[in-house]
Amino acid sequence: MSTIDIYVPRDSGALSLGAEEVAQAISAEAKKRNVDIRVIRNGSRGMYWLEPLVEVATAGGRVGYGPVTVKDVPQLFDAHFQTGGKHALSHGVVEEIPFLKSQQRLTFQRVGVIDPVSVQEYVANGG
Amino acid sequence: MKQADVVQAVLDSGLRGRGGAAFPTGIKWKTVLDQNTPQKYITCNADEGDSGTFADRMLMEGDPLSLIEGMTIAGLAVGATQGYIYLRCEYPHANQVLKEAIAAAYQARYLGADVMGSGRRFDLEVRLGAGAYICGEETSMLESLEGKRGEVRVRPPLPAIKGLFGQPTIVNNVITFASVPCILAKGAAFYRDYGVGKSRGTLPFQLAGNVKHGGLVERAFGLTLKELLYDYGGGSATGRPIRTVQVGGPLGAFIPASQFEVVAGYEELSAIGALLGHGGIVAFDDTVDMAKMARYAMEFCAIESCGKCTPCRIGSVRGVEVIDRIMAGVDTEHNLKLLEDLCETMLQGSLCGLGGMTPFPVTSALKHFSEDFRGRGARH
Repeated sequence: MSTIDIYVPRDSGALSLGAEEVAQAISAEAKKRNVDIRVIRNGSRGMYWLEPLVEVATAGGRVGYGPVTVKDVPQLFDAHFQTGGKHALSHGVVEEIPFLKSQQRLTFQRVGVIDPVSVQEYVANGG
Repeated sequence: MKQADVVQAVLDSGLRGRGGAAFPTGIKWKTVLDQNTPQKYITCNADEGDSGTFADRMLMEGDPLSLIEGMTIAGLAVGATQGYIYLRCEYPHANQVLKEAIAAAYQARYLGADVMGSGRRFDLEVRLGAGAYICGEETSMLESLEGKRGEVRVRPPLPAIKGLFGQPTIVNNVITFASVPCILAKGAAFYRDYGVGKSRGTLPFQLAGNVKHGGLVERAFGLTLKELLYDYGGGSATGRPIRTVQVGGPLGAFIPASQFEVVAGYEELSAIGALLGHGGIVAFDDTVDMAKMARYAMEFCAIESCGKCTPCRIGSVRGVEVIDRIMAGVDTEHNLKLLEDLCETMLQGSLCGLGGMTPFPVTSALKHFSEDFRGRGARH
């Protein structure tokens, strides 16, 4: 099985809501369960009532879960969130959330999408 | 692209300063390009201090390379080899991300002695502010960057002619620079086709305060405040009616619910005596005491004044005192008149926007919510 990309923001707003602890909990839980994941620290999508918003890359797009606390992490694995599984915190494909979908993001086109310090991802996403 | 073509594209896009002043970016760039001096500077104002604003922070933490690219384009376009990002020290995470991104850009040769093999140099570094709101005013920011106390400079000369260390300097906001790569990649016309009236392109609106769904909404200028507050914001977090919003930071006007149909554009908001500024929108429900809000505006100015000019330094202190008397119900009509007179003095006589705009929240509160100022005393 290939490595699954899981996004947990490193944005100040998300961090103030516990994103750092959530990122660590996800890494630890994945190790325990022997699930092959890579945690990418992205920016925020700007939907602060959902932060920390954890996103999982699936074939159908990035599925979002939030607001996630450390306590939720084992349950998320139980629900197979790493493959986009159903859970009470799921919001479906993040880019389909009406708040985000109806926006016209030109300046913010990559914010929350990419690893902010990766030149490679910047270029690959139109930078 | 030739230097003049880059500047022309920025001009044609209709991009205006996103820090809040909304001055046409292309005109600023052209002024710096036209100066015949060997040393010029690119400076980014990342001293995002307006209440309820976080677009600069979100961008720097989420896509700092677009800011770096925007500043590099500016440097190459006007012939500057050195750039500074003036970042407020309250943003430690942004500082960390910026430093990592700048290091990555140097590694990839997007920065340094030979930008992308062009043979031209552009260096960039972050400088931290020390917590003063006034250093978000461009001339104070330049003083602070020079290592001096953050005091406002008298203009003219404009920074584009005599800026940092007396040299021609571009001063733009984070969002302004970060919008440039998109303009050059997709063309000036693509960007200009978004928007309304003289407000071209998009603005990252920031919903904060008492709203259910706070966050960032990037949309073309032209939607209404009501759409932002209810379609995006979902109404108030408390479930009570939204009575007013303050738009454009602590020096922005209060807009009453009866005017929420106003279109979000620079001129459209000016027409109702308000301003769009950096795009921050702070919502208050019907439990807000507008006299307290007016007092807060004066108090904020008193704390943050650089002290250089009298209307701002003394006026704001007197403003707090007058509002205190009004709130105590002392000689209300006389003191209201005095407050209006004081606001007029600050508006006309201050050296910069801090003293000059503090009257906006005060007079808008007086105009739209006079019931909150009259008949006070024992009642409150």
